[in-house]
Amino acid sequence: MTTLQRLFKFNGGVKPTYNKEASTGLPIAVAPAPTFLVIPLHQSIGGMPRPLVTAGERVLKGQRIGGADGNESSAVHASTSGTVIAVEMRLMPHTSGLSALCVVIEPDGRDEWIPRQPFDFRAASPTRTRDYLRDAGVVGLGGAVFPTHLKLNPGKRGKLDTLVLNGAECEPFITCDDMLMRERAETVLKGAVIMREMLGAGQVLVGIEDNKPEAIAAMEIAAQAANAAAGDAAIRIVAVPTRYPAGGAKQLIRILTGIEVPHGKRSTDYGVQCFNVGTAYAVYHAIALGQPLISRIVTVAGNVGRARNYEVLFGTPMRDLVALCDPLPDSDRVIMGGPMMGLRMPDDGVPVVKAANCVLVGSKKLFPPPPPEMPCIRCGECAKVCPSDLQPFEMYWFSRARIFGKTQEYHLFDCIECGCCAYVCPSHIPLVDYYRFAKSEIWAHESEKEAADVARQRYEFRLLREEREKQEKAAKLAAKTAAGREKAAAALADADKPAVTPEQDAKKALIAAALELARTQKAQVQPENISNLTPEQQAEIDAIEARRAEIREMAKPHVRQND
Amino acid sequence: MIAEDHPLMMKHAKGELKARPSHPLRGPRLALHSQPAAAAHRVRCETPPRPSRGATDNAPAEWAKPANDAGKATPDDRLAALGYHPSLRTSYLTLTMLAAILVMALGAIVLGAALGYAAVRFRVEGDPLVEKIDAILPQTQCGQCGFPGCKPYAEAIAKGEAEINQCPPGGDEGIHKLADLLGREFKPLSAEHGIEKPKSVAVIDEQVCIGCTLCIQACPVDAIVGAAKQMHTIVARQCTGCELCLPPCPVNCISMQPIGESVENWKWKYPVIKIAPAQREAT
Repeated sequence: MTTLQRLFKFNGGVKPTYNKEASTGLPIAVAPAPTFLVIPLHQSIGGMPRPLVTAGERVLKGQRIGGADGNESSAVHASTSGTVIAVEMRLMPHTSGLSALCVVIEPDGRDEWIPRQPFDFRAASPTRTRDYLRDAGVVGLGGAVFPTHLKLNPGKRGKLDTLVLNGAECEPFITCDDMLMRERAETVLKGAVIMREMLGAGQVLVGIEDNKPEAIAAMEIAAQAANAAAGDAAIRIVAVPTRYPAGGAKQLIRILTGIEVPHGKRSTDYGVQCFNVGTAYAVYHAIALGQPLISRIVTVAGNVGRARNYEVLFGTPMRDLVALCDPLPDSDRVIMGGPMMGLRMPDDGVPVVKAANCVLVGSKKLFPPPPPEMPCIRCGECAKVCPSDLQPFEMYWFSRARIFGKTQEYHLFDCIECGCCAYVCPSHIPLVDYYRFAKSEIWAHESEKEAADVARQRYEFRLLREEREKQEKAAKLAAKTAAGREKAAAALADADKPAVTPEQDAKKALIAAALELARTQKAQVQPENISNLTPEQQAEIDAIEARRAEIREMAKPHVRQND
Repeated sequence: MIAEDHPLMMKHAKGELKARPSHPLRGPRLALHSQPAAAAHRVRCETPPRPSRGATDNAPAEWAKPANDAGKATPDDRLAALGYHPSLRTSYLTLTMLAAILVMALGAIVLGAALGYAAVRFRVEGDPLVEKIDAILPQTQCGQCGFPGCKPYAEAIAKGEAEINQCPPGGDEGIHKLADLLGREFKPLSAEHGIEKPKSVAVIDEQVCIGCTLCIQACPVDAIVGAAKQMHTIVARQCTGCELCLPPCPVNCISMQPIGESVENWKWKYPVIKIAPAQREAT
């Protein structure tokens, strides 16, 4: 509550034009359900959820349609009640323009919920609560969509010092967190209280950039109420200076606590965990109301006549959403996210997913094409603004030259792709594109190497197994021959013995009788077609027999001919 | 050690050794100032004729002189003038030399022992070069290189029995890496071993499969599941795309399907700046 919170600074950062006013004029509206919902199964970081429904099935609002694939994954739910039309490949909200498995639902308009029950997280074990959140599909709504249940773990220490709620929202145009805090501050803090209990955190710091005075005021009031209810002063609302990217998790932690999380460490190692305010809101809905994550607040801004925030069901096509805001005629692109970190969508028909905090409509006038890339002049501006204290120019050179090992030495994977370096680059080099290229090359190479290691292991095991089987076979064969020899020796010994049991005698006699019978029968049988032959026929038969004999003679190996 | 019969000791025993004003080697050093270098060298290196036992009792003037200019005084003459026998100097040199040899030998023994111990203690199992080559090879175990697996091919390369361009699945990139590792020249992929194909996995047409198990026996990484007279299937994640299961199949129900690009394995492309025609202002 106090404003006497000591603040720290992160290095670098930029101050772009914020353009946030346009979308904060109107309250959050609920976007109508579209004709068809296309819900991608893979909406979070981690394994791809398996589809749990088939075409033709009726689903209820909040019904699980994609089951988490392992613990590092998150479930997906039907956003409204209706009928599953298909489970098929559809265009994804992804730069690649590729398709992935989606569940297509035709809403029936009844918006019928599944039975909802609050989850008593105090009675349940922490693991059970985390499983519940995984199956409720709660993921980080700041844009990174990291599964929340994995982060709601205090780790080895068992208790954290600080829970940081991220309401900084530093990226231009985006106001979804701002509006959420203005209108639903109480719910956000209720979610924060649940998270705080799960993490055992001593205090809750809510960092909000000071360009959102309404949100700060609303949150202050809610925090007073929450602190009064709890009887302590654990929740504090902190206004942080407006500077992009103050909303980065590591940057906000540094501003609020002064802790600089080093390379390769997690913030929980230092007793801090950071969540987006939207995530806290979703956690409250999942635990206290039993509602899985099926919608989020999305800012529609940019080249539109009426920018506004909407509560949007996942699976709603971006086109439908943009149509609500009177897009200007020269709009030519849709960007998911903001102008700094956002990704250009391959088509405006792609669905809104959990990661979509903003649907930014662009045009050539609003976002003019970048000037041509010029050579790097080594001015070092990029290093000055890098909020992760990296050396962007070094990473750029090595990425450009495809020397990926060196880029990793310069800690490429600590880059948060905030775009500050490209923003200030006087040579207009698309630096982040180079980092993304290098990162995906390294990932591909690593997964290839992993596959090769598995193949090598399996091949070596196979050789081992074949060798073992060969030995076992040889041992078995040796045992068998030994047994056979023993038997033969025993039989020989038996033969030496003159004593034959009467049963054996009887058997032998029987066999002899049978053989005799067979012989006589064979002798008796005469071919019937050679009796009463005419002399001509007899002559013909003789000729044939002679020929046969001749042929037989010829067929014999001519061994002695040369002698 | 100075032996009992050493001339130095004998002189000492006889009381001939007197307190010397200086080190015996000082004499020649003094001489260095006045003599040409060659002469000085000879003085230091040549052993003067050893005097007979009888000669030692005579006056110093009778000591043998090196064949020198009669007029000039040799260092030995000077030594003699000081009352020393030249052989004293020689024996001292021999002693120091012996000591040096002893020290060197001792050092050699100690270092040799240390190296020998290290060779045993830090022994490297296997050939590290083979491991390095094997790490570059793609581990498809397809045998296209002419060896029964990636490891035997790696061993052959390490021994110099095989070329580096015999691995089609590794492709040009693999050959470049091998060339870098081994310091050899890059060679294009040898055509007789095959061509580089896009990464694929084998897929069994389960309608046609008769369950003969022949492909299971052929698979080098045990990626095929099935039993006799039961349908077989391939675990795609473990399939290396070696194509070894194709020839044994009696009903030709196995086909290779290239691994397509998906959202999961899609890669950001190298940033390419499109060159657009210059926009001319309308006049």
